Amino acid sequence: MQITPKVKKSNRLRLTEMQLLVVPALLVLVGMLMVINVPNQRVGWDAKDLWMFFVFFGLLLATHLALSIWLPRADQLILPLVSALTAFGLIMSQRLETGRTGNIASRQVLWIGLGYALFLVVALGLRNIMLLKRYKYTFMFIGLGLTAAVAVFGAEINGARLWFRFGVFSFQPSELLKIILVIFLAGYLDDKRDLIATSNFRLGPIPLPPLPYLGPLLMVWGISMLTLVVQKDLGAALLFFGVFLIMLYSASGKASYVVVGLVLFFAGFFLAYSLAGRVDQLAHIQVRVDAWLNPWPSGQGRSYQIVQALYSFANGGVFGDGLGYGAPYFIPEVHTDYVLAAIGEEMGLAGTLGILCLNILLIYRGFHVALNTTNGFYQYLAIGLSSILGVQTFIIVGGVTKLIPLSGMTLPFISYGGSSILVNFLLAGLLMRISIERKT
Amino acid sequence: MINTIRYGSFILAVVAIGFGLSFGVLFGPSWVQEQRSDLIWLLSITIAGALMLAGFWVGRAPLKKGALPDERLTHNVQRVMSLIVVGFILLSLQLLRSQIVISKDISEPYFTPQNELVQDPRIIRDQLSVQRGRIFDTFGNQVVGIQVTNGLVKRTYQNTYINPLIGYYSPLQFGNSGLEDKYDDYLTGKTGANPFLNLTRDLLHQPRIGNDLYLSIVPDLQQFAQQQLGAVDGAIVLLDAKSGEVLAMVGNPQFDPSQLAFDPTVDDTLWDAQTKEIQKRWAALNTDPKIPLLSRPTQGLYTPGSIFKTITLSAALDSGKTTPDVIWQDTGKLTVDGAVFNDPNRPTTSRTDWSTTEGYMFSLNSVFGQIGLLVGGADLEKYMQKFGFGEKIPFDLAVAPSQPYNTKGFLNSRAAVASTGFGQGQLLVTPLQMALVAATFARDDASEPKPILVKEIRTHEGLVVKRTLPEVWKRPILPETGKTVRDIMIQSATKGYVGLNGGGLAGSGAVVGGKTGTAEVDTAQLINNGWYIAWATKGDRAFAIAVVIDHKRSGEGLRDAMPRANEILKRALSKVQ
Repeated sequence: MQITPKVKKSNRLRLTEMQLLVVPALLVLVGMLMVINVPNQRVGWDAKDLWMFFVFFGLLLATHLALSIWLPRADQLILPLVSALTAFGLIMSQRLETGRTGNIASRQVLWIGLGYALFLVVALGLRNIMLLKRYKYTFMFIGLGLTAAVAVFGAEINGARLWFRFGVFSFQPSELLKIILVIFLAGYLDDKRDLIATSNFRLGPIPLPPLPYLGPLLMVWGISMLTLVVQKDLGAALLFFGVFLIMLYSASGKASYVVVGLVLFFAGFFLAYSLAGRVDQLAHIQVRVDAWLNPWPSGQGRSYQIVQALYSFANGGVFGDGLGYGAPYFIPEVHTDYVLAAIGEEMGLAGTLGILCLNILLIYRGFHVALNTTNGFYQYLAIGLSSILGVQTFIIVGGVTKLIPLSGMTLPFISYGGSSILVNFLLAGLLMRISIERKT
Repeated sequence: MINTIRYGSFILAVVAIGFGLSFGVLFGPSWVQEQRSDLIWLLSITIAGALMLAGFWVGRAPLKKGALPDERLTHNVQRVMSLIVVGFILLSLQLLRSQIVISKDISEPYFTPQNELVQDPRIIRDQLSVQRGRIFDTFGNQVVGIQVTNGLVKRTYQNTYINPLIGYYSPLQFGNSGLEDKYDDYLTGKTGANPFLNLTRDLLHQPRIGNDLYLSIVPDLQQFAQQQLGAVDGAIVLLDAKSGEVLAMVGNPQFDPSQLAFDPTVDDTLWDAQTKEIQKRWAALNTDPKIPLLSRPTQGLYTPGSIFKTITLSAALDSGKTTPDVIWQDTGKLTVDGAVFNDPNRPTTSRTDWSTTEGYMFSLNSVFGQIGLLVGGADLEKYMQKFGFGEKIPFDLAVAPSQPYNTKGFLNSRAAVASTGFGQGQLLVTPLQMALVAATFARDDASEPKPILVKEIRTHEGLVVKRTLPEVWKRPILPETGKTVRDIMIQSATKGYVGLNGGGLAGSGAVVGGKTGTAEVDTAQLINNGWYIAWATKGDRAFAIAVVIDHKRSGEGLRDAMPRANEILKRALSKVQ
């Protein structure tokens, strides 16, 4: 399927993108009008708050024009897909703004604005992506340094030490670490490309990956386990390891490595789970698993949040209660991790499946970019970045729907939150840049 | 060969999805009834996912030997994509299940092993947002209304005199009582509203509008009755004897339901404080030794004393065992099987011969002890039941049945029958029951009406949903007996004690029949219940009243209850042409 048409140097029109961008723009306009018109809104919205729509519309227009002028050959689907997800996020943060949350909607507009700027800066400014590969070890050191620093100096929010506090804003380094990890692994795998064929490395009867794979495998496993135990961040641990296994498999084509990796991860996880009764540092794992298997007995206590989310989903039905007519505010912190439950309640199954579809299209587009690009580093980078979206969405959606144990993660582009929005736009910008380096 | 494998694996994937789905449907309901554990579902969806993945894996042609690096990468990425797609299909199935298949079951209330309630807060939100029906008095003045702020509804109360009849409305904490409970379905619009209208309102996200209740209470008489009762313990019931409609009904002690009304329209942060305050009031109401939550006119049980002679008389005449002119001996005391009953009521102590009619007029205990014995315990009980003793009066508020005796077989003793005959024994009656007895004799066919409080139920716009028509509840005696007793009651209200003390309402233009009663509750402390029951007819209207003044030292029906009833009857009659 060739959606991106070949354009002549003279033809700078990005028609597909322009047409598709109408959808997110309308989505925000209609959504905001609905929120404004809800009669029993607790936060009084009125017509002047439509400025948020105009800002969003301006951002879409500006980004589109900038891409048309300076990057006409870049992929035309990534921006509309990202914008559609962002549009959902903007509507929901406006919908979910209450006295308790503070003015999250206008803050979200600010983050989205900065996000689009970052997207353009990366897509237009990063002329030589190979620089990323050259400094992969430096990046990795910075990433690990930040993670170590946050574990020591960070602020503790909701029992997890994941944030740096700067005045009113907080920053979550593990969000950035996932990109750094992908850059590092892409560079590393590209370097060791030639070693793929041979594998005589075994531990008894078990075939093991050759050393160049075994090294990083153990390293990432170590990072994941540290994240799980020291930072109590089950979601990040899963994400790091999942993305790594996907990249490893894409490079090697050996499912056995993945199996070994999974066995390692789950062995570590089960060890942590079985020790959870005795070690305080691991208690959160047991809490999460118990709440997953049966949250009802502690529905008024530890599992309050997930039970409230289940009520939200259950009340949604097929088409939902309608934007502004549900009661998602019963879920604590609904605007960050649980935003999908709010969407499920007010837009129903149609809304939640729509979000999943948008995500899968975006992931598909990322892989499409990966397969059409020119060199190994770009390929691995694009695969890694796309699989971040896939794995992260699976972890958070699976968590809030109780398919897997819940782990705090943001829903890409939709959840409220500065670091998450910025890092996701950075990711999209990188994909955009890679899409120019196309064969033919 | 390769194609067969591919198609086969595709079918496998479809079967896997079907497997997962059918398990979701099959185990959906049972999941809730039991432990609410998701284990079976999670297991089935995992298997389904694994099968799907296997299907995709086999369905993709394997890589040829000596493939180019790019071909190899494409192959691998396709497999990665199939993994992600399977993951997303599982997510979709999970969403499908929780949003559609078991959504009703999830919202069911659940009790934890520690007996904590886990419940969807939307149930309460919906209750708080229903525009609950209003309640009006007989003239259409609002008694209870609502005030809507931000889509949340607060119950408001406009008439402090009628409030105690309404019952409390406390969906968040204690549930509902009184009319709020009995007519909840109408008030919330669940019953009686146009179903099509309800559907459109639901679709348009408009709150449902409840139906309004129209009471038979006359606000002026209700207020006057409460003023007459004052702060004294007791109860007053005024009926329209023709229709059975309750015109006024007051009792002390009482409670004000507005005390327990939660106001959801205040700021969220004040909810907790408000809840605590209401819980405090609730605890105070429940621990109050005077039991203010008990509705005295319908649930208060009092010894009737001499007013009960009306029933003894009816039983004796109706069963043909005596006539109004039969002469009885009254020497000032009656001895039955060794038990001595004093009779202090004779107007002239020198006279010992008294007719049945005079016995009623002057409330002679010896005469009615003998009449009771003549009727016999079994027949006395039968007639009490005919008047409605021992069963719950069909009424809009909670009622207590009046009781002929407390211990079974009590009426086997002759002394007990004699004592019951003049209204002591183990008798306990409610004011509503005695008002209905009084109303019986104001009706031509001597039938006992069914009491009515809610006259009409109308939609918010005023369309009548349900109208309560007058009904006969009981036919305790023959119409001829009724006529005879009525005449005797008129004699009582003109020439008897009642009449001699102004009970005949001379100058009001009404025909009145009445009987006082003074029930001994504690003879040592001289604690008495003062009673008065009466009926009054004028033109085409008829009223019946029962007044009880509770536990008063040296209390007496003639002094405590009758003057109050007279004032109320006069006021009611003054409106009749």
